[in-house]
Amino acid sequence: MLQMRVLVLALFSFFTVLPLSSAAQDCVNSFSGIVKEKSGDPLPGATVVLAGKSTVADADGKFRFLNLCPGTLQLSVNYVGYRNFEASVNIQRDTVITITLTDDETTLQEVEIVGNTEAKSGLTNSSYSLSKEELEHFSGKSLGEALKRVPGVSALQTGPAIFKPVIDGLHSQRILILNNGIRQEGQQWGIEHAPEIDPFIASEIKVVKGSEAVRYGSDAIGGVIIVDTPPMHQAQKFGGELNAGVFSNNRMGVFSGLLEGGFKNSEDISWRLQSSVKKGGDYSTPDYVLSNTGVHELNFSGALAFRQEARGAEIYFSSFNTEIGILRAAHTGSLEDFDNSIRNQKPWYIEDFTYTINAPRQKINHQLLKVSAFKKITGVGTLNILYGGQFNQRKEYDIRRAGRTGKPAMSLDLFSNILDVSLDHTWRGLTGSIGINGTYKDNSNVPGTGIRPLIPNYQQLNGGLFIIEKYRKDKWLAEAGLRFDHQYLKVITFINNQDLVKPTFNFNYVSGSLGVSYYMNDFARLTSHVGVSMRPPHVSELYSEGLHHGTASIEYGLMNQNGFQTDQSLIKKEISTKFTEGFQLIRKTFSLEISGYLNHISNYVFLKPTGTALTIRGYFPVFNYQQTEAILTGIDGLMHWDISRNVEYAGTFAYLYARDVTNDDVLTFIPPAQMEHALTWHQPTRKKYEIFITVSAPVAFKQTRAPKTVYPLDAASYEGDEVFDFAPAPDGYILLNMEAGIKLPVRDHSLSITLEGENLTNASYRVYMNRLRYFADEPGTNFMLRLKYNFHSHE
Amino acid sequence: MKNVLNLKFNRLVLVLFVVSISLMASCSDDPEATNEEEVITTVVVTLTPAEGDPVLLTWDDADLDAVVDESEINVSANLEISKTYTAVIQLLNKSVSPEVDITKEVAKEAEDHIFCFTVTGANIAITNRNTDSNGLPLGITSTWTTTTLSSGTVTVVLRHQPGVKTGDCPGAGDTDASITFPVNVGVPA
Repeated sequence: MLQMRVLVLALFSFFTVLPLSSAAQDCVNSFSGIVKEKSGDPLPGATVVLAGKSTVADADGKFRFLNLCPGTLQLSVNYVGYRNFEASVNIQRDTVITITLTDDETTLQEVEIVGNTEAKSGLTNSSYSLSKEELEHFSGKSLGEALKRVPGVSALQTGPAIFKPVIDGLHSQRILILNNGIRQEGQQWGIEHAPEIDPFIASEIKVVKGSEAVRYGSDAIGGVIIVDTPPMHQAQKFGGELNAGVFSNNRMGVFSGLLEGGFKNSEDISWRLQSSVKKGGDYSTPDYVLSNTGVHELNFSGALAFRQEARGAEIYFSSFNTEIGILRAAHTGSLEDFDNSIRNQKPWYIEDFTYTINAPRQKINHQLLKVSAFKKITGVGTLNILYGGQFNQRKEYDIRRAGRTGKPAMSLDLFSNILDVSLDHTWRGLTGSIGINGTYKDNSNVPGTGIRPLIPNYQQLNGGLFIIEKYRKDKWLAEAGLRFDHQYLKVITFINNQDLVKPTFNFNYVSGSLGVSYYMNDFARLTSHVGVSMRPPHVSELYSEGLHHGTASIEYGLMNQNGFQTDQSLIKKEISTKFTEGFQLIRKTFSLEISGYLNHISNYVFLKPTGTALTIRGYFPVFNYQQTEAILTGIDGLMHWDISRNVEYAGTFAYLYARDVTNDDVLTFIPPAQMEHALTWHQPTRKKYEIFITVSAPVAFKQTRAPKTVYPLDAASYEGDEVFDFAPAPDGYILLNMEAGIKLPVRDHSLSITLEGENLTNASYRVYMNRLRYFADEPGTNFMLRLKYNFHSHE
Repeated sequence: MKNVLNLKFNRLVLVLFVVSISLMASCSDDPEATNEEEVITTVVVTLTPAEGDPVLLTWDDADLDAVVDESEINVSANLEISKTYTAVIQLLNKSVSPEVDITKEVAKEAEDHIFCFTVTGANIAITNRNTDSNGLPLGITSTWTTTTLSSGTVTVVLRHQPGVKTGDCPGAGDTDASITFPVNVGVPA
């Protein structure tokens, strides 16, 4: 009996004392410190993350966290251009530490010339990073969809599976994507061509929103997306990661695995293997199946790295293979069909759910080989050499007669080679980089399609020379850069599909940038950046020719005006002048970042309606690439507020105004104003496991500056001069999303499980930036269950 | 060990350069002009009466620009009043050599295709389209019956409806060809 009472008492006290003890536990400790460079100088601007909370080191390199509960917390400190610092800190009282960040140059990461070192140039530009943790919320989604999270970044969609990033209103060949340090060379010219990258390889994705043309050349006129893989020096110990996810809407399954380790015989060598597979079927709107919107994907990559203090080398290979269905009802053979589709408000082809992908569909294979090396040269700096070879195959299949559906309607092979050499140096307070790079691209149409190619074969040779320097003094940080480029372009095409011609182009162009960052006080920073960059028109803009089934329109390139080949001297380079002003405020429980920009682009290349053509399939509108003067100006911001110890608010917004100055008209494909609000409840960090629940509401406004509406049947008789759209801009919308997750330790390892629901109200809506909005609604509710198991053996 | 690695490192850099230079030197041969396999360059509707000469409605894309110019449309004669014609449609692709009979491709995929006719102004009834294996109309052959004096147009549309053919016009699917011929029934005043 006594024993029983003791047991009951013990149980009782166990249940009551546990919560009591945690409440009684004083969460009053502070953790503060200073981040320094190797030289002892403070490092303002370094990001310090303690148990998921982040702050930025002030002008003196100091940071502070308050109201911490006793326990062991994960600390990480990072700063572009420096090696990440990671440690577990046991906080039982107020703790003060000094963290010295070593230059990236001592790590192999440095070798990724364009990946990490080069990012040093983005210091005064407006940029935003998606961390590994943030990326986990998007695992299984495409790169373009994950990037929509960044304020000012939206996506140009072709259905629910094809997302093309748009930065401050610019996309395609005006944006550069760096994939593990290598500029991605795919078929980015097409509006329905998504980046050929598996987001599972990324440990961080950074978006630089201003022009980074100085560092990367003309493709970066609108911004850069940097997809970084985990540094190889982390792969010394055996470990890995498994991800699995299931998605309800399109019954998609996603699986990815990563293994890494070192070799017994040598501490200098490490390896990593990674693979992901994805299979999804048709998506569904609240009312019907989006027939033929499945996606199948198989990707893998491997890396082998050798690293010593003064030199290192790395070989990296990746393979991206995907097959994506395009909504069956979006294939239009004539303006009548197109008009019916738009007016019906519902796709004309709806079948039961299937995993099968039929025409129209895309099949893309992208192979990348990267070989890089670095060597430290005493008294000079670090020399980096990088070679990248890429082979991109894009096949597009259409609905055709007589068994030709199995034959690609378009088949392009793009083979590209990149060689980059740069020298990073520090000289009398100046740190910077000088470098040269060369690219060679060969694009060929694979014979046998039975359809005239939309873009011709071409060979392109680029050479660039750049210098970037930065200088830091007191509360000021300044950087400046200059670049010179030459491009040789040889186009191999046919006049009237008969006479082979090989016109050649030579473009010389320069880019320059100047940026300043001023630390007003311990918690506020102002940045100002101006970049001038030039871009010669892409081959697709020069020589496109043919009927686009997706848009039911005929397109002609800049070189073909009114049916005649025009003079090369009339082709002008695009010149962008972009001013970006940023303000950053970081307080204990509140942070705010706002950036405004004004981008003036002269000779902006765009598609202008120029008439109609009666073909054997009926009338089609004709669009011709032309050049004009454009202005894009806007403001983006994000805010973070810890309302209480358990509840935090995060908000983002973006607004963009775009105008064709010459024609006094609007521009096409400009994202409408958007914002997102998110409230998160998370359990205080002292517990062994972490729980969170997030409720978020993305809001999109109606695009009020959309081009005028000309329905397809009216397009045949349209005689106006303004750009037009085949349907009015859809109304704005508010969605409701929810996500809950738990992270559990499993011995040394960790397991996290999250359940997310998107569009919980099952709202029917359309997205202005989705080209398939003419035909169908967006997907309805989608539940996603994700599991992640991490078995890295940390020391 | 260090020497070995050193050697390897230098060799790697060398290989890197050789590979990149050799890749840059790769060149491609001249491409050949693409023959459009599916394009329809010629539409001929042959209207044969029980007695008398056939009437031909023709569109022939002489300049092979895929654009329908008025000068490329030809109607050989007026139709006669109160007469029954047997119509046969022929589609050709003359952009390739030898020319391809597209009608054969359509006949082979009869279950996925349908010819639709729209008559405006002219007093012509089009009936009796031939059928596919499912008993749905195909329309490569049909019967055209004229009544009284009139003028107008006949539009011939070929619809491609893989998996969605119901026999309705225009129905779901895509338009592969659409051509409008001016026609007279009798001699216009």
